[in-house]
Amino acid sequence: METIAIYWEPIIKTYGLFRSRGLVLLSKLIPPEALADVGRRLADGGFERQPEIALISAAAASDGSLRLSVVVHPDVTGSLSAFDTLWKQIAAIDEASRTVDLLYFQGPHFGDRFGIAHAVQSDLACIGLIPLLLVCSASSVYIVLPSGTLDRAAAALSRSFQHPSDDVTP
Amino acid sequence: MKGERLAIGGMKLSMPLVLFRWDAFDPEALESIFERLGAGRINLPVVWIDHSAAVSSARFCIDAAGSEQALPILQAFDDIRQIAPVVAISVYPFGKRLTLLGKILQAFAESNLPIHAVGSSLASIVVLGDDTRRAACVEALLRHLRLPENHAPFEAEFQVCYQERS
Repeated sequence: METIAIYWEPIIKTYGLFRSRGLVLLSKLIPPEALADVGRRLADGGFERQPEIALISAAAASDGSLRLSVVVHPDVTGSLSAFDTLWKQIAAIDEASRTVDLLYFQGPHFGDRFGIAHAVQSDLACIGLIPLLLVCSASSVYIVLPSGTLDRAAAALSRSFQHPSDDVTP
Repeated sequence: MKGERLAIGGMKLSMPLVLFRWDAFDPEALESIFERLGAGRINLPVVWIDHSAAVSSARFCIDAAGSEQALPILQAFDDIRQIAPVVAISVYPFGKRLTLLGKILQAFAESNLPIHAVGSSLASIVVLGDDTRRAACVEALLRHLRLPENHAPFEAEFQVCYQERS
């Protein structure tokens, strides 16, 4: 069965722009032989309270090692310290730890629509802002930004995206 | 719990995708490529761009069905590498659970299945595995994850495609 639908919008609509400031971005380079152990440690972490994770992202390098990045909320009780203990046990190379801001949003059928990633890139390039991380999967767009650039980035994204509210914080 | 299978709500497998990797990329050139892909109505279901490391790195996927149209745009850049055909496996719900990430890493590593990329969203964790081994990926995951009895089908039951209006 084939269904034909026509959808047009002058500006890309989203379900809201979510903002978080002062998060911590932690990155590690995990060699392939350590991956199962890292997985076990994360799975069996034994946290009294699950760390408040805002974003997980990873990609494999050509040698099969995995660059794992996790964005953590430091202001949730015990979140960063619980995670930090585990993070230090992971046998991998520490690559970075820095304070960041995060913008994320979802929109109708983003995963099925062309042009979304380019709209994000283009809007941010207009103000000369290069995000630290851009992760688009399913219907979500996550943008990890250098600390202090969130408001400029949010304003720039209004060129291509229309949010139902300008001030949504989950 | 230690060693137990983790309860999940469901899994969804994408159609076959073609994954591209571009390390030490030129941001302006990448933006231009995305613009041209968008102009050709080519969707990028998964995009991962990292500027936080010493060497910047980009990964992006296109539907295998649309790769014929995209390849001429991408082949103009020598440094863009086409990786194995991949499947995007979305595991629901994410629930901000590190344990879920751990189980996924463990499942793939113990079965010697490559992980090309991972990304979380509000709803799910998406992991890119080899499309030629999609059944093995699911089997490996189900050794560590437990589905409900009435879970939704793994494969999408419809596909979105674009047509020019006449």
